[in-house]
Order: sequence, then structure tokens, then C-alpha cells
Amino acid sequence: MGKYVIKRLFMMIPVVFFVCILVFTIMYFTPGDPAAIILGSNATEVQLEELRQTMGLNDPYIVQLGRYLYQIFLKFDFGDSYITGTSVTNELMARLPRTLLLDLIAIAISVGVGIPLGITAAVNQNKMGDYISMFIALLCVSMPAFWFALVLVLIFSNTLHLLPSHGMGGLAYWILPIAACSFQGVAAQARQARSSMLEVIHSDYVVMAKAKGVKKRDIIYKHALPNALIPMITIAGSDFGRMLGGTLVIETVFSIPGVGYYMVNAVNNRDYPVVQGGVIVLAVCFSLIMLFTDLIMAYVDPRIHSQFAEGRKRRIKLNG
Amino acid sequence: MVNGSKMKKKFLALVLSLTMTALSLTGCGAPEQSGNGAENVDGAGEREEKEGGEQAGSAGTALYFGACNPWDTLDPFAPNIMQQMYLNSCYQYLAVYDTFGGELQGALLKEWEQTDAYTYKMELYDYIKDVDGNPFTAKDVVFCFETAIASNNFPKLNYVEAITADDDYHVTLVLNTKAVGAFAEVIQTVNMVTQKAYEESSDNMATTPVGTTQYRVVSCTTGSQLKLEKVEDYWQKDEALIPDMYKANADEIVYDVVTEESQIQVALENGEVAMTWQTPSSIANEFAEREGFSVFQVPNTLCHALMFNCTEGSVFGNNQKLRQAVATAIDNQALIDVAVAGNGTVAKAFGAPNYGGYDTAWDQEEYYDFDLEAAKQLRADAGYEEGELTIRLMTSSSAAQKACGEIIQSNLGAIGIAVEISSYDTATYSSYKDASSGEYDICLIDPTCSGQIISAWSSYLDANLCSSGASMYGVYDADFQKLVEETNTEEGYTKENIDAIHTYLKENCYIYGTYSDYKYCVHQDGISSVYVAYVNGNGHVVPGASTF
Repeated sequence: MGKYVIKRLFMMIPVVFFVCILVFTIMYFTPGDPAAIILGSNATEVQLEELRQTMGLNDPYIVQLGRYLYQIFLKFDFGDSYITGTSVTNELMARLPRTLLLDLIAIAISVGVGIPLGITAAVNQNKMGDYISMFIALLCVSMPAFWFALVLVLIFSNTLHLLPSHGMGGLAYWILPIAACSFQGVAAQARQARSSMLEVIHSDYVVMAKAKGVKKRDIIYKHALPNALIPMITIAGSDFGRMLGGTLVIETVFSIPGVGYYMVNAVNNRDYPVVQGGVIVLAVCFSLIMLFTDLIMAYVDPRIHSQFAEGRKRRIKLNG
Repeated sequence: MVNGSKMKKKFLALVLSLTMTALSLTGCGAPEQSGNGAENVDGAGEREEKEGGEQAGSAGTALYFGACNPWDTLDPFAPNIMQQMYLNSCYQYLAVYDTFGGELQGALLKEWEQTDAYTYKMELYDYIKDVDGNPFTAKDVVFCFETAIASNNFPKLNYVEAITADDDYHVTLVLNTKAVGAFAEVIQTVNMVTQKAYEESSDNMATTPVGTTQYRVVSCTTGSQLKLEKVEDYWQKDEALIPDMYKANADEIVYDVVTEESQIQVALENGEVAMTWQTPSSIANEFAEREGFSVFQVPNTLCHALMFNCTEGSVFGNNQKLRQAVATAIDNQALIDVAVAGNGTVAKAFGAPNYGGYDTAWDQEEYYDFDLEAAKQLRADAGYEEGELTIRLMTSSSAAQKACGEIIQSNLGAIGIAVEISSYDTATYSSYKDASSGEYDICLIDPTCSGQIISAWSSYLDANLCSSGASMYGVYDADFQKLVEETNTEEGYTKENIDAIHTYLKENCYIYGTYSDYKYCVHQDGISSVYVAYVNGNGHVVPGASTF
């Protein structure tokens, strides 16, 4: 397993490398001049040219790309923001924990609420429990995050005066953003859990367990659920990855200075170092999440775990 | 069985719709209003308790200010387009305008004089200290200018030929231009700090500013909240010598970033913020009617206009009648209604009435007033039949410009000219704005003005400022260029020259002013007056200088 983790970590290097090249190339060919944005409309062409020269924007594509890759891979430095001159690495490190915290708690809620909802629906198929669970899931999936966030603010902040409407601070400030961020995950998890559980519940070994008089609770939690978990873990992993880049809306509504908001401003200002740094950090995070997801799957499902072990044995055998 | 399933689905859909409607309506209920429109929020966690309107009033209180633009850095020498409001609370300029286009008032400068066309001798107060107690001298002025010039972030500093410290408190500034307002623009570009404090800062003061204002930064969460408190022992003891912009009437100011429009409204209603700036006109209209709130309105420093691409090969190049047809077909009042909820004034020139140099006599003139029949005739005179012409309209991605674009599309459709609209983000829009880009036939523009009308005109009319060598709209006229250059000098900035430029633009219709509007500050009634500072074309509220 350890070798597998190391192998996957090494596999991230080419992924990040190609992400760097792709993002750099897209930004390079996107119209818009950072120098013009910094200096404003009153700048003369001479001033613009001077600033472009200082920033290295006049160099050929390949030179700029080479310089950028050198900075990233050999100096581990994302450079400084064109617009503010601040270190992109420092700024991202200050903002990433906020985005990660928001996403981590949101995904935990999605899993913690969504899976029990889905199990309830599957176990009580075509009964009231199923209808109520799926109604909640349908409700969650039908509401756009932006709209739901504002509804939460209007209810809990503006009308009931229970929670602050925006900003950063204590626990109370996180409740509405997390709720708004997690509800679509709840729906996805509930629907996935229901369909996976239904598939497993109708399999022969579950029928056999029922026939042998095993308790219903044990059948569900000890026999059916572990086998139905794989697709749920996959959904949770990809949801987490999606949330990392997609919390922009929530960050904007609740004025949370996270990575998403930082990057969108940077795209609008053609602040190349910030956009590139942000995308790379998110790509690394996403790769790590996917690795972590695979490890959880191996832990949960002995079949996957044994595949890793078999792979190792096969290699030993071939070499032997 | 099938029918039963369908019925269940229909029932579920109905319940879902009802639930969503109920959720929306629950949220839309009118909030409970306290007397001053400021109810505290429970569960405020680690953040300090806020007391709404009362907080802003008497001594020992805090003012929570809802700011719609976040800041990325408080470095005094970073480009400061978006963060000027925050920087002006932390740092001072040498001198500042007392009103828009008004007179300079010394802040750190005791006095100054112009010794020749280009040279200014300045004297500093000899007792200035920053909030850390470091003395501020002429050497610090030179350091600040040199650092700002080296950063290449400030185009106005291109006017500086030399700056030298004559002794501890005397500085000589030499400019290389006689442009109108150049001295004022230059000294209101560079934030002043002591060299010692700046060099001791580990992050170039990005989060730990040390300036010479009456406020010290006590906490800074970049892009979210900035908290400042009044210093006990301010260096300037004589209140009469402190410019209004640097007055400190609140003991504590908390800038709270609220970027989403509807959240601004909620934050005001909840009393989470006592005052906001650049409030959208629709929200301002709503709060104007509410008990406990007031709306302060100031003329915008931007004027709104439409620029024709007059380069060779464009349909508008060498076709004055067609430009006039388009100008006459546009219903400017409709633009005001959709873009700024009716709160604006139809333009009578390329410029706004609050600009220095604007001649009120222009308001009585005919200025392509909305007339579809006349526009159709002009279109026919221009050589185009109805439905023959399709033009490209470029707008920025701002909601106001997009809305205006749609009205213009409709107006021109009524005279038989089809319009294709292209809206671009700020960076792309800026790149394409010069007519030589060939990306548009007509373009909506919002020039800013630093006080005098020539500053709004120059970037569009002065060929020296455009990469193509022609004016921004794509025409080079040697006589007109000479007139623009002559007008943009202290001695040439005369009523006759200003009027000549206005007449030239009006007759040729290269650029057509559409409307001017306002900016709004919505605040609780506990705030009796709002102070707006104008620095290099951008007006912003100064919370500490407002009175309570």
C-alpha cells in the first residue's frame, strides 16, 4: 500500500506539469494586457511598454513558459501578483485553509446526512420513508446554491436575527455558508446511497442472510452497506474536488476571502501568477483527494485491497 | 398502476414547488425594524458586539462600514485603484483637494509655492510623526516618491522630472509638464510613510500599515475586515490645520467587505453595517423611503458616453451623418431608467455638469435630442437604406453598460440599423477600446475625471496617449491635436479653448455623451453628514471624516 501511495504521488508530477503548461498557455493567448490594467487608461504607450518589459511580458511564449516552470518546479515559487505585488504563495496559503475548511465540513455533512437519507429510502422502498427522504433530496438538488444561500440569509439573518449574514469570525459565521455549500452534496449522496443500497439489498447473499434470520439492522449495516459504499465514496471524492473550485458563489455571497474569489478577481485582472498558482494548488489538492478516496475505497472494500496486494505478488512472481 | 405512479410524481412536484415558494416567502418577510434601523445580530461569535446606529454616534464608539470592493494589499506603493478608500484611512498625501475640482489643502505640507512653470518648493510641518512615533521628514518624501516611481505602478508619476530634499523640512519637486492639475495629481498619487517604518515592515505594509493619519490598523483580514482605531496622541494638534478628509470623528472604524448586492441590503437592515458606499441606485431608492435610514447622493466623477470607431474602413469613418443618426436615435432617458433606476441627467456634452470647466450654457444647446424620425432621415442621408446596416456595439461586462447596450440595440433597430452586442471583461475591454483594434463600430465608455473636464477628455482625444498615433476614436487631426495640447496647460485652459473642443466634438460627433449619474451612500440616521473625498478622479466616502 505504501508503494502504491508513493507511486500515485509521483504520478501527480506530470499531472501538475501539464496543468501548468495548459493554464499558462490559455492565459497567454487570452486577450487583455495586465500592464494596461495596472496603469489605467491614462498611461501612455511608452509607459505601458516599459511596464511590459519590466514584467517580462514582451518575451516570447517559450521563454515566459520556461521561466514560469523553472520558478514553480525548481524554486517552488508562484511569483508575485501583477496587480498588488504580494506573494501569490503567501496569499494562497492564507486563503486555502478557509476554502478547505468550508469544503471539508460541507462534505462531512453531505456524507453524514445524505447516506442515512439514502439508506432510509432504500430500506423503505416505495413507503413513506422513501418518499420523505427522496423529497428532501429532490428539494436539495432543485435549488441553485446562490438562491439557497440568499434564502438562508433572509430567514436566519434578516428575519430571525439568529446568525450573521456575512463575514469572517467565530463559529456563527460559518453556519450559513456551510449549510449552503453542503445541501447539493446531501442530495447527490442520498440519491447515490439509495440506488447502491437497492442494488445490494436485492442480491442473493442479502436474501440468504434474511432467510437465515439475521437481524435486519445487521443485514443493512454489516452486510449491505459495506458493499454499497464504493460508489458513495467515489461521489464524495469527486464532490469534494468540485467544491474546491466551485465555492466561489458561496464565498462571494458570504464575503469569505477564499481561493475561488481570489482566482476569479485574478482572471478578470489578467493577474497571471495568481491564476496559475491557484489552478496548480487546486490541481494538487484534487489529486490528493482522489488518492485519499482510492485509499478509503481500498480500506472499505477488501477486494480492492487485495488487488493492490495481488499486483505486488504478481510482480514478485514475474521477477522471480 | 401507471396512473398511480404519475399521480405520485405530480403530487411530489406540487409539494416541491410549494415548499420552495414557502422558503422564498419566509425569507422575503419584512424584517423587524428597530428605532434606528439597527438591530444587533446574535451569535456574532468572536467578532465584537455591534450597536448599529448608536455605535457611530458619540465618543468611544465604532463605525461599521460596508465596503463593496475588497482590498488585496495595503502596501502604499501597490497599484491602488480598488483600495484607495482603505489606503486613505491609513496613509496621507502631502496635500488634498478640499472638494471635487476645488483647491488643494495642505495635510503634511505647511505651505508650497510654484517658483517657475515646472518647479514647486514645498515645506513640511516640522513635527510630523507616524503612528509608531517615527519622525517624518523631507527624506521620507523623497523615499516615497522614488519608491513609487520605481514601482512603475503610477502613470501620473511620469510627470516627475526630479525630487530633492533641500533640508529636513523642505522639498523641491520639478515636473516635466505644464498639464492642467499635474501638481495636484502627482502629490495625490504618492502615499506618505516613513522610510524606517516601511523598511522595518516584513510585508511592505500589506497588512500592517504605519502611516501618519489619525488611525492605526489594529486588525486586518485581507479581503474581509479591516479594523482601525484612533490614536491617542496625533501629531497635528491644531484641528483647523487638519484637512476634512483626514478628520477622525469616529473612535474606531471597521471596514466590512460585502461584495454581493443583496447582502449589502441585508447588512444595512440588520445593523451589521451602519453605512455603505457605491450602493446600487435600486437599493438606494428603496432605503430612501425607509425610516431610520438616509441616502446621501453625490454626482459621479464618471460621465457616460458612446464612442464611434472612425478609423479608415469603419462604417463611421468619414460618415458624419451616420454618426449623427445613431446619436439622434438613442433615447438617453431610457438609458438612465435602465442603468441607474432613473437617477441621472441626460448629457448635453461629453462630460458631466460637476466637472471643472463645464460650461452651463451647453445645457441650453441642442445635443442630438432623441428623435427617431430625424434619425431615420440622417441614416438615409448617410447613404444607408433601412435594414442595410449591421453594426457591432462593444460594452464592458458592467450591468449598467450591458443594459444600455440593449436599449441602444432597440433604439437603432427602430431606425433600421441592426446591432450586435459584444460584452467583454475589464481586461479584454481595455485592450480593445482603442479604435485601431477594429473590434467594434461603437463602444460605450465611462471616462473618469480628476476635477477638470480636460482630464476626462485627454485620454480619448489626445493622440499622444494612444498607441495608434491617432485619437482613441481613430482620427488624427493636426489642428485639433494642437488645440487639445494647448488646452491641457495652465495658461491654455481657457473658456474659449474648452468651448472650441466641445464644439468640435459636437459637430463631428466622434464621441457622444449620453448621461451623467450619481453615487450613493446609504447610512443610518445617527450619521448626520457624509464626507466624500475625491482623489485622482475617484470619489469615495471617508467614514472617519463623516459627522455623527
